[in-house]
Amino acid sequence: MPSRKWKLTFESKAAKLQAMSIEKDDPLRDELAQQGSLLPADASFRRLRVPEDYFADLEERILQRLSAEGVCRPFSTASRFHLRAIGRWAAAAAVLVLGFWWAHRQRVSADQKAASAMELSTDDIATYLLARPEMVDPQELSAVLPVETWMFTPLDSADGAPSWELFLRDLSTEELDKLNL
Amino acid sequence: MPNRDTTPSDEHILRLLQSEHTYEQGFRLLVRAYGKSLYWHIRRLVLVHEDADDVLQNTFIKIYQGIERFEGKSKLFTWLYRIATNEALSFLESRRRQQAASLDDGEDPLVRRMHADPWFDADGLQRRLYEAVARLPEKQRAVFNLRYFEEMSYEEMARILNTSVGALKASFHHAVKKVETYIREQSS
Repeated sequence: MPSRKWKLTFESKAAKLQAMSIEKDDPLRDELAQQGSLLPADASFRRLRVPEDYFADLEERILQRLSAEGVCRPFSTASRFHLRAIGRWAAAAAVLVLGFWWAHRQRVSADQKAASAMELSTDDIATYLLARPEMVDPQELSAVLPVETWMFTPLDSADGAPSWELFLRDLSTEELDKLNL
Repeated sequence: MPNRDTTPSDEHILRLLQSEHTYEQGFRLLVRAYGKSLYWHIRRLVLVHEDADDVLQNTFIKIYQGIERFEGKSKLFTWLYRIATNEALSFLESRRRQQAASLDDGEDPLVRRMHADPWFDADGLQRRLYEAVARLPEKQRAVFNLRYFEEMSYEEMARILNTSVGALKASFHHAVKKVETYIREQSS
């Protein structure tokens, strides 16, 4: 059981501390005093023991442990900067490659379109349009193709009706009179 | 905190740590400058010298591997203390899990270990103080230690423990009350 002497010492210390806190600006003392704490605030009171020369060879022991465990420093700060630079260059190169690829693709696509348009002959166009007379105005058709090409060719439409019948269906009464059939 | 009169500046240490060739020299200086203060910070958290030595070495291994993650946004000292605190709290957590599985004889396991430590020879009020500290919850112990033993400002503590100043003040106040209550109970 703690002695009365100890309790008195403890309390007198606290009283002393409170008195000291008035004399000197000390945040911890002030704070403990404000709390009415009896805890002593002097540094000598708070010491713990440590083996002699413990700190003298601390560096060596830590480096030995690092070596024994094979701990490697991943990268120095300098090499990290190099890695960052490499990363930036790689990103720029990737953007350039993507740009070239896109431009190349655009050019190839345009060339292919031009090539496929050039490959069509007048006959191809006529065949295509004659198979789909509903898509083209007869006047427009006559503008691009000779009249004999489309007017008297008995091609069948998709529903089996002769194409000239479809053509006649689209003509007005005046135009039919003019045809003189 | 390291003695600024006798230790190299943080800038000098960091400059040395930036180069492959001077890294070891920089690391040695870092250990020399901060080893002692980190040891005491850890020792007051784990309370047993052997454990403190183990945690301190683990802390420096983490620092050795991760110094390049230090971005200079806080003081080097704050960053090192944060690593040491986390390392000590993780150690205590794993120790607590191990002890939870073992038989409980009623005495606080940390207090028992502290009494068995040959480097703990406190007596009287100091002994009761450390027993009371050992009984504090770990995070509250960290708050109490930084404020009481290291007299650190609340602003600095907030940066290390990533907590608000108000919460730290309240935590310290409660910790002081708990410590005092324990000491009073043991004394009467």
